[in-house]
Amino acid sequence: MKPAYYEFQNSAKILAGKYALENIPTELENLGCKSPILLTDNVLAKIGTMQTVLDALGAGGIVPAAVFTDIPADSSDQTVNAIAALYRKSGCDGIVAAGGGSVIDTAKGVRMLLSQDITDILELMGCECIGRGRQIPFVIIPTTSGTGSESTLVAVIKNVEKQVKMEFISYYLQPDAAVLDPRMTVSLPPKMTASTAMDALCHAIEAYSCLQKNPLSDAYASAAIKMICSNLYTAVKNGRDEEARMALANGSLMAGAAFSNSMVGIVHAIGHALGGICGVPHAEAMTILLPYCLEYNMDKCEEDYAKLLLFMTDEETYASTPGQERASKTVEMIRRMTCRLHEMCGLPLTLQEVGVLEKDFEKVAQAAVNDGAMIVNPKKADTADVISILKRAW
Amino acid sequence: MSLKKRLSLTLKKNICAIVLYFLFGALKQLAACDTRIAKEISSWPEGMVYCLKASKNGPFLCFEKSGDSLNRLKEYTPDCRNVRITFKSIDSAFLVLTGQLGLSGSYSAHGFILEGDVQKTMSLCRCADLAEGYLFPRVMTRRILKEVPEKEHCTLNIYGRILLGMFTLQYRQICAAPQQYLSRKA
Repeated sequence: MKPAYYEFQNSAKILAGKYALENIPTELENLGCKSPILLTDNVLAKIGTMQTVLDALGAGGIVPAAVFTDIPADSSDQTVNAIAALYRKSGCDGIVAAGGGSVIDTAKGVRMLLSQDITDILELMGCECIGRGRQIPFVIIPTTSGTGSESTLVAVIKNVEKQVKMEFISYYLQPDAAVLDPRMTVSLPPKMTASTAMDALCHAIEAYSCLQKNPLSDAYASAAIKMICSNLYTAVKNGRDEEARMALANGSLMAGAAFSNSMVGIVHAIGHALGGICGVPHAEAMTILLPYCLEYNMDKCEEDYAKLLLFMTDEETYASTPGQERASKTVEMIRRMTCRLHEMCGLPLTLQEVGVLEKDFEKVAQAAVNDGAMIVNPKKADTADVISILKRAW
Repeated sequence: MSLKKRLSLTLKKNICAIVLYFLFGALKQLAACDTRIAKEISSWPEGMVYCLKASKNGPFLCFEKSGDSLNRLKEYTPDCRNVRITFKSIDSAFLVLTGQLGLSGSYSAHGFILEGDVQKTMSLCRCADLAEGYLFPRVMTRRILKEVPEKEHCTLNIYGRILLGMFTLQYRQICAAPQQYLSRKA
């Protein structure tokens, strides 16, 4: 159903495909940037990914004025402040971030701090309360195909002193350019390839069924689901298959664009809580929770879930499935998919496998109902509902 | 601006101001008699301030938690510990405050901007949903809420309490305690 009103923005220019990295210098020049700061993490520096980026920049005559690799797994305000200080000291004029979710969120935080001329990003916490500010050229190179951060308007940064996870939602967090290059993801191990792709699939499915859904987010979500489902097994089996890798990268980006404009719901609300309280990796939490949460939402979202079957399977299967069974078939397809990935690369299927304890359910449920994602979930969920989902997924 | 639009804005602003006043009355009374709202409010930190602003220049409701109850404040001073919801236009606020759209629906339609912690806002949304369950007839709440909440008291009883609170001046605006504020400018 078309919403009475909606907004949509996906402003980043996409550079995708072979030698995409080599086109970054031209983009930077067009954006007025000559001496960017390069942000990445120590693992990517160690395995040579950072060098690949540096080589591509160097080939186009761009030498970063500063490189920062000490970014922790959870983005923090202290890291953001340290990078902003280095940026100013080194006379940088733009940001290039290569990494996963934490590197990208940190880079978004740095850009916010620099463009808004403030000293503490805590002041900007909230939703749509940030203006454009000063233009800071910003290029993102994702190294996983899951978070979709390169196209989202969300950043989560931890305030270490106050022990608060600060959530920022603003269209001005989107980068100027997002670069998808197959070289950035070929080294991802099979299990991580599978879990991050399931995260992207979850973004697309939730985007397709949440309250903020709109015709444009639906188009991105459905295309993302088709691309991920058709290429996931190939990429897990053979990580060197560049075509499958690029399909997952594109799927992840499109899923990011979809959920950025439609938001995610109960799967993410519970997943964030499991991450914060039990330390469950986000993508694994998504894989485990997705079928159970779809079952929970079924009475409100049956029509949308039924439509998803067409994007997850071939036309013949869709046509031969009776209309009233399509939604449950979609959930069954997801279950089959996670089971196959479990056999292929050991992707966890239960919360028990990832070390969640039953005694933490109450705390997790409390955190989940307070998560911002819950507001756009089509069905109301209280702590008892969340505990019941957790029990089933345990 | 045309006269028609000006009149419409004035009318909507006045209606929003009245509804915000009643909404505060409902929250204050329900804090004392509805166990779910009392539980939500008890989870807020002491001195926590929420502000609902019906557009940039529109009427607003600002209140702080004080013990088990709520105090209505004269003004809002931005502070990263507090939460302010500002509707983007008086028309967006009017839809919510007259029961044509729920808060979650307004959020989905980008109806407001939010300054502060998103998690703290979720508790306020739950309180608002419960209060709407009492203030608006079922035919409206069924359309705007994801689930119509069960009432612990009858609506007439709540309306009676709100009116009593009004006549006993329980909703008059007070100044917030100065230590509440940080240095951030308004």
